[in-house]
Amino acid sequence: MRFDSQEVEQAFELYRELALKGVISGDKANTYKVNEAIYTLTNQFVDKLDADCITVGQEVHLIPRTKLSPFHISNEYIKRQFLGSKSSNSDIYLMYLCSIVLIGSFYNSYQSTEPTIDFMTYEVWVQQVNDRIESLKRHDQEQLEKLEKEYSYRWSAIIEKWETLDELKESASRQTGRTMSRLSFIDTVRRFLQEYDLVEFIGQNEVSLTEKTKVIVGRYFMEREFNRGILEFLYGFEEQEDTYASY
Amino acid sequence: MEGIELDIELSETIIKDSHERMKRVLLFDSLFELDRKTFKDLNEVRVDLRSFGLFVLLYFFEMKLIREKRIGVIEIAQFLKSISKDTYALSDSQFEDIVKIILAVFRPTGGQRKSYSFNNFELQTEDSIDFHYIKTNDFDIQTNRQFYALDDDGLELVFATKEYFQEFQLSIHQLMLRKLLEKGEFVGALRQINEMRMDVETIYERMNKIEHEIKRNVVSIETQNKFMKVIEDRNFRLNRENEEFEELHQFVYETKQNYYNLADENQEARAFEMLLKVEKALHQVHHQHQQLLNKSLQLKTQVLQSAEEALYYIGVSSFNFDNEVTSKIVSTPYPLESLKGIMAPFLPLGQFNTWSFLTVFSPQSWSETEEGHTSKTFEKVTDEEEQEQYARIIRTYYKEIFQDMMTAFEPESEWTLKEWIEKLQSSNDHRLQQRQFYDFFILCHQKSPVTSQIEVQSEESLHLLAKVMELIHRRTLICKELPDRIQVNERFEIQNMQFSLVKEVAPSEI
Repeated sequence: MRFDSQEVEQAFELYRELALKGVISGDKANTYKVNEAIYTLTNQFVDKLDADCITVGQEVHLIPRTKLSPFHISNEYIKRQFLGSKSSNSDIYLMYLCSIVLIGSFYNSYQSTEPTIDFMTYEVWVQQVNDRIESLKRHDQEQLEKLEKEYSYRWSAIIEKWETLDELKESASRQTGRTMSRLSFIDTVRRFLQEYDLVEFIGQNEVSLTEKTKVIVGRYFMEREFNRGILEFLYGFEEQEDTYASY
Repeated sequence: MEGIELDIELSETIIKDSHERMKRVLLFDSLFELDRKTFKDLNEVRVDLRSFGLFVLLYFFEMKLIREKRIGVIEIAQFLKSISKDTYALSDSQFEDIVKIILAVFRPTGGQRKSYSFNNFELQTEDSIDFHYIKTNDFDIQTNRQFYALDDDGLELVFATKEYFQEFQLSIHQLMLRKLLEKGEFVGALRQINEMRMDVETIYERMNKIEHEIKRNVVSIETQNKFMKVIEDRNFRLNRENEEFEELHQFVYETKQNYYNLADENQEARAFEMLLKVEKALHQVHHQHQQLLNKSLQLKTQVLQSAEEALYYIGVSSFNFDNEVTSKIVSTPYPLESLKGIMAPFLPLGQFNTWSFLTVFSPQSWSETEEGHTSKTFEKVTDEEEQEQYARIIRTYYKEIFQDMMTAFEPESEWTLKEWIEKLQSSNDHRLQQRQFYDFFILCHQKSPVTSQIEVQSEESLHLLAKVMELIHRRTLICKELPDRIQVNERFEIQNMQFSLVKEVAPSEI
């Protein structure tokens, strides 16, 4: 397909704004939708950054693809921004885990494609993470360690991280998860999510999802093609694991 | 005081009509009473008596509409059976038992009334409310059957479960506003407008919700029709309400003209003022309402657009994030990188941040650093009242000093500051430790000659000497500095000066 230079320029402008803000609306969104050449070009540009465009009403959103890509925001950056200089990689993965647990708690039903709860308190959130860590601990320790040596499974570091928060301040009432340190970590995660406009801080230790998050889950995770991509991304690890097991 | 009065008014508004409001709340209680009763079918499944109770009332209502009067236990049981035979395994006699339970709740068998008592805060007494849901209608001696019919409160409950009112709330308020304006009750009208504003806000929120819903759910043909219908209904109503608003404007305008012609009397002037307020408030609400119209049109295009999107979009029928992502990652477990991958769609793209050395030569902004909280001026007493109070204290204080000084040197008309301070030192006067004491002399020197004629309001500092001027009384106080200095104590040192009280000296001589 041949493009004239004006279209290329226009497409690049759209792409630039998308990359900068993550969303375009109004006339620009309209241009994207109506002009086929610009549509194709913008999608190609975005594709080069491992991302997709989805149109939502009068807006076009840029959604980074579920994969590991050098073009996505880097761990280093997030670490510097939210976790302080002394943090390690396990901190950031724990933060990801907490975030995913949070989103999962909102979307935990096969019956509905809408969130099942309106808001989440820190206490429940911490409890949910506790549950996940508990089930991680149930894995065969030896197998985990073996996998860690062969592949980048550092789950034990994450478990340890969370458990240390436990030991420091929570020696007495372990099961409740009401520890200042865990809560403060959750609070850090909240700040991280809030910075990217993913959650709203609605009151004393309570968060709710923003429209942005709902759009991403509802329109990206639940779109058939993208959904397949996401699941393939996850199953891909399983296959790798199998190949390791077979060696 | 005003605050307290307002509070009284507020609480009066709230406890007003307690009886009526309570009645509406308690009206539903019988249904919840049914819910608390347990009745199990043959498979030990709990029967939803609350719904059945409601259906029985509605059944009575429908029968009333077609003038069927012979309704007894058997008919109702047959009806319940017809709607629930797929849900519950119940025998005919069980259905009859259920009907008897329901009737007993709505119409207690002992003949006593369905009665609730509560504390009426408005009247400050115990209050009670009776309900009559169902009454007996007829009795067939041959078959020994009792027939029932819907009573007042039963009918009210049936109506209360239909959502007529919510949709027409704004129209109802508009109607009431017109009535109030006709009667000239402008305070009530203002309240009515405020309630209208609340309606408008509720509608706005609901439309916002619909907008989000449309955004998230790509519309299939069926849902598109559903949304379209909702929006068109809304649009139709908004247009009607808009027309009503315009008529109300016209009405207010006319009323205003009438009052304007009568505006000479005091009573009418007040009413006219209220009317102006009503008009202003009405304009505001109308404006908000017009924005709703706009929004509703936007929504319509959005539905069409998302219907268009639906052509390209195929969603999964169900997706349980918790189960399919979170659990999977943790239970398998997948490598940590999977976490980052899943988070990626939620996060922005990475951005390359760089800094050019040439920035050094670009214009630098200095203002930012100075915009802190560290202001270089002293804090000022901003509150005028506080300032006034402070001035009052100082005025009295100056007066005291001056009076003491005058009495000390009476009847002489000339003295020096040094003499005065020495006197005070010998009596160990505490005022020597106060800064304001010295301020006074400096001020006197500055304003010298001080006469009682100087306009009091001319300057603030003179204002502080106002009381001193009263004491001077047709004389002039002249302060001249002397060359020596007085070391009063460790903290204060002041130049010596000479005071002289002269009769009526024109300022130009000094």
